[in-house]
Amino acid sequence: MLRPGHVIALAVLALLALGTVMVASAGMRVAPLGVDGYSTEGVTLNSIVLSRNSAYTAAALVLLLIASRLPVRALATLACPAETTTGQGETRSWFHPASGLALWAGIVIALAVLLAMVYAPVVGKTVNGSSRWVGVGSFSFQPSEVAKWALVAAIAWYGVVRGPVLRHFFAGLLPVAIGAGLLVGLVAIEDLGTGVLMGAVVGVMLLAAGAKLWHLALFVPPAAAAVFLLIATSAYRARRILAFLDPFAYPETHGYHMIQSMIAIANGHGTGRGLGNGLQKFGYLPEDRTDFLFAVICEEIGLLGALIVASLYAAILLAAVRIVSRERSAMLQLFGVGVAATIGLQALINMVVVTGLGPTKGIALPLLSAGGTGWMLTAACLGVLIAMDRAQAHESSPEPSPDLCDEEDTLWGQQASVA
Amino acid sequence: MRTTGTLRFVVVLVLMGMGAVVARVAQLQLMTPEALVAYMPDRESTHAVEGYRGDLSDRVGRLVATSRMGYRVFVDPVELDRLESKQPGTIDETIVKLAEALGEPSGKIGGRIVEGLIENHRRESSGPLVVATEPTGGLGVLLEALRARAQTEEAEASDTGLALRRYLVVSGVLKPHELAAVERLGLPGVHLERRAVREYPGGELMASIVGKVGFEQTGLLGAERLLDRELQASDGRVRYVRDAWGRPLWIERGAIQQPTHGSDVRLSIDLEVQRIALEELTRGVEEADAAGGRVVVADPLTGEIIAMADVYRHVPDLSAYPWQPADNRDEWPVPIRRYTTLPDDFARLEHPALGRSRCVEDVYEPGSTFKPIVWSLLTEAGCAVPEDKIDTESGRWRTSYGRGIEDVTKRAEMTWLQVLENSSNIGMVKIGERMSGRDLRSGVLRFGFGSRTGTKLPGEATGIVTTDKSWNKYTHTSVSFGHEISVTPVQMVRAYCALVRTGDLTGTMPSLRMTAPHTADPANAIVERIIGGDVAAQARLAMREVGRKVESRMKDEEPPGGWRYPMLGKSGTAEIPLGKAPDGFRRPRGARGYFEDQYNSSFVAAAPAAEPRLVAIIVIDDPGPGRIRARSHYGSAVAGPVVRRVLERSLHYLGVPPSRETPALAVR
Repeated sequence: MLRPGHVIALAVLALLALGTVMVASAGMRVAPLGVDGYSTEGVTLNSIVLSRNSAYTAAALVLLLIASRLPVRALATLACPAETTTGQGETRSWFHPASGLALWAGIVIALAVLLAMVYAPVVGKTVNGSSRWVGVGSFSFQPSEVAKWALVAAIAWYGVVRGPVLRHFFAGLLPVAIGAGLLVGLVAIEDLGTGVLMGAVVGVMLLAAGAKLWHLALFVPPAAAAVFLLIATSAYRARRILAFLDPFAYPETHGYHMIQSMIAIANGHGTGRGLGNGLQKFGYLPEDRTDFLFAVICEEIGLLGALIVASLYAAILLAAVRIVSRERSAMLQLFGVGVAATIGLQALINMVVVTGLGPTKGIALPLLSAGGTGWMLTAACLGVLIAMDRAQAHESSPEPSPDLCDEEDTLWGQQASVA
Repeated sequence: MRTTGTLRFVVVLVLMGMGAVVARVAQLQLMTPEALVAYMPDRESTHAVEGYRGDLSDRVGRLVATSRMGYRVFVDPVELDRLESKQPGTIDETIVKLAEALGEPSGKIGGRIVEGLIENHRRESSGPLVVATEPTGGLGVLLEALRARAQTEEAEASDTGLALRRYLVVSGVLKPHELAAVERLGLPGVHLERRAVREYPGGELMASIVGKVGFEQTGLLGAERLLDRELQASDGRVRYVRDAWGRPLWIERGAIQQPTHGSDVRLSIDLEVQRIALEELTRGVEEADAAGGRVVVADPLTGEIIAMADVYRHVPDLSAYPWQPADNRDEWPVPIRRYTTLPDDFARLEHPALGRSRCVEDVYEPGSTFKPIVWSLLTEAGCAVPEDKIDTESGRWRTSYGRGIEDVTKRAEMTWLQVLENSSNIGMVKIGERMSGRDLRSGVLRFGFGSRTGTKLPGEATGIVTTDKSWNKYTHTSVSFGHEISVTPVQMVRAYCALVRTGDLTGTMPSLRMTAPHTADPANAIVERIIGGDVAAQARLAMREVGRKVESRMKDEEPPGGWRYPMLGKSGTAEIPLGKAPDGFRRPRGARGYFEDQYNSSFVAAAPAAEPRLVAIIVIDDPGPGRIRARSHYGSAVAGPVVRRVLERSLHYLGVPPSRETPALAVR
């Protein structure tokens, strides 16, 4: 019987494989020999296997494997020792609520510093007018990508530690809202799309953790105002909105990207032009290897490609629902919600943007768009879900021995005794 | 459970969203919106593969028109502008270097380039999508969007959105060393363009026959136009898919269209005969102090034109004819002077190929050269037999309606054959009266007058034969000795073919042609025998006598052993008609319809007399007053020797076996 964890592992493998091939396909270029010192031999099996993305795929799979082997229950208990297995009802924590708040503040500050590094003189990098990258030498990453997943973990932790008071606006919700709002705001200044995504995920997680819906609703107007402000003060964002409303009014300027993306999709004509035979990737469609890879997939593999991609994400999400619903650890449950919501919403936003149903946003398609850290972190987080599934499998094994504790209990017991 | 429920809710939302996305993809792919289709260009470029225009050669394969590939220089002003903004001074440097390479003053090239740059700046500044200041902030953008839309609508109304010029030709076709110099420079923004160039190795000798092609290698004049269908090449095409920078990616199946090269065509002209004819004509015109001359040499058996040329000669003291204003009714005697009879051909001065081809386009009155045609028609109809004795009234006679007719050779009596030999007007008119006007006219038409000869050369004239309705006794009399009819030299040559063809073809007439016959385009079928073989033989007999008289006057030029190719023919001398008065003017009162004492002297001949292989005509336009005073302006005196020389030299060159007449045969 295929367990949800297996489904996730297979879906991740399929997405990464498709991503590696499609990124290679989208990367095809006319490169005459010897013009710039080195020459490409074209896209071959060899070139795909030896590509940078294959290395990232391998790294992502290794991380997935490692994460899936983590003793997640034990780690969850470690992070939150008094956590009950359900996360509901009476809970007692050795954490004083105030110490929980202090730790939360510490996490927020640490992440804020990380995000602020993009403005730092040496390590910060500005690409396409946005400061999103931090890098030293050839190694670089987006702090927002790290912050995105770190925030998911932090909210999961907060949701459990301060779960009982979360239903109170000032004691529970406001501190987390202020902290998360600060981080989301920092991200949104440079990368509105990721900011909106993070905000939505935080909202979903807090709701799942027990915050009241109308309390959360109070944050919607200020968030909306902030988004409007960000649009109103930035020319390129406003242009993107205009272009979304009527791309054909600006075919040569701001509407260009959206039109080219839609042309790429339309070029598929149902059956697709055939793998590698896409046209738009030859300089017509910008960001074809990254944020707009879905358009290339639709052009080359057609409707089938779109269905495959959507199905793979759906498989991951449905498996995640299964795992989360069976999970006993409240913190892991919340973490699972965060991971699933992040992947699902990010994929949806990307596909909506690429198909011209929403304004152009620089947001990657998880596990498909070319990218190193993104793939690895996403795969690692999904690995945690697989680990949860493994733990559940142990619990529901046909011959539960009353003598034997759960693996993580044993582990924890040992560690506790050591302590 | 709250947690799972929330996640379920989010997942359902996301899945619905993805369903919408897949539906959107299906919509874009299967039912592409019209608005998008308009922006879905074929990512293809086309590369033309030149087809070569066919060559023209003379009848033995000497090239007279051929194509080669040449290069010219063009610049891209947009690229130059960009380079200039990167590194000031680039444009100046480009101009100076380019001018040096082309060996032209830099001002000329520079002027053209700067003009192009200025034009581009003008177009740029009138473009609709110019924003003076880059707005900051989103609200500014929204306002700008509204403004821009208003501007666009305005611009669409006035439609000034001109594309920038990126193609500015700055040189003609380069010579090899210029090409090498430009290539060596390798200046950015300066490009070479391949172009087919038509070369005419035939030079001026053939210019008026070969004609000329236009800029797009289409025949505009002469044989280039006449044979355009065969010569025309069509360019091939390769369509290739390109990337955003225009670099070729691949070629789709069926996207290569091979060029079709034009066929090579052989003209009927022989370059050497053409040279001989032109040389002799020029000499004859010079000797006659004439204003011009024309020559046509044809093969009577096939109708091929072997040579055809016309010349102009500058005569210093010509005056313009004194046309009178239309309202001037005064009697005003026209002073006898030498007037301009040949209007200047300014196009010919521009380029020899542009001139009028006077052998096919310009008509003249044939005069006595027309007599063999009328003579054979009358003989064929039985109006007279060659031995009939005719009273030629000692050279002075009045017709029944009182028109005075004179002969140059004044005799009391001639046989019908001698009438032709001595060119007796009286004899011709007298026997001519035995035929009805309708019959004479239809006979003249059967000889091909009033219709084109089949050369298909552009602008060929049909000549004028008086209509049945206007055909009166004056006409009848005039036509009998070759007046009141206008013909072209090629028409005369064709009509004489019927007289000089021997054997089975005798009495028939070919269509004339400018190309050598080949299987796809065979020689002309015999349409009609116009005159019987015996009549033609009799006419030749008389014409041989005319030829002999010309030869006898050229004793000093006669080759040892006599002329290799005895000539037969007929001379003609006719006054030049005034033609139509210019608009708003009229003929001076009392003036006849002719230039006084200005003539067209012509001679139509064929040789060798026993079995003619070439027929030729020489027309000397307006022999000088000196010749007229010396009474040596007649066709037999000014045109006869020329045609004699042309035939002798041409036949010799063509390798026709000499057929000298033995003295015994020459005695009649």
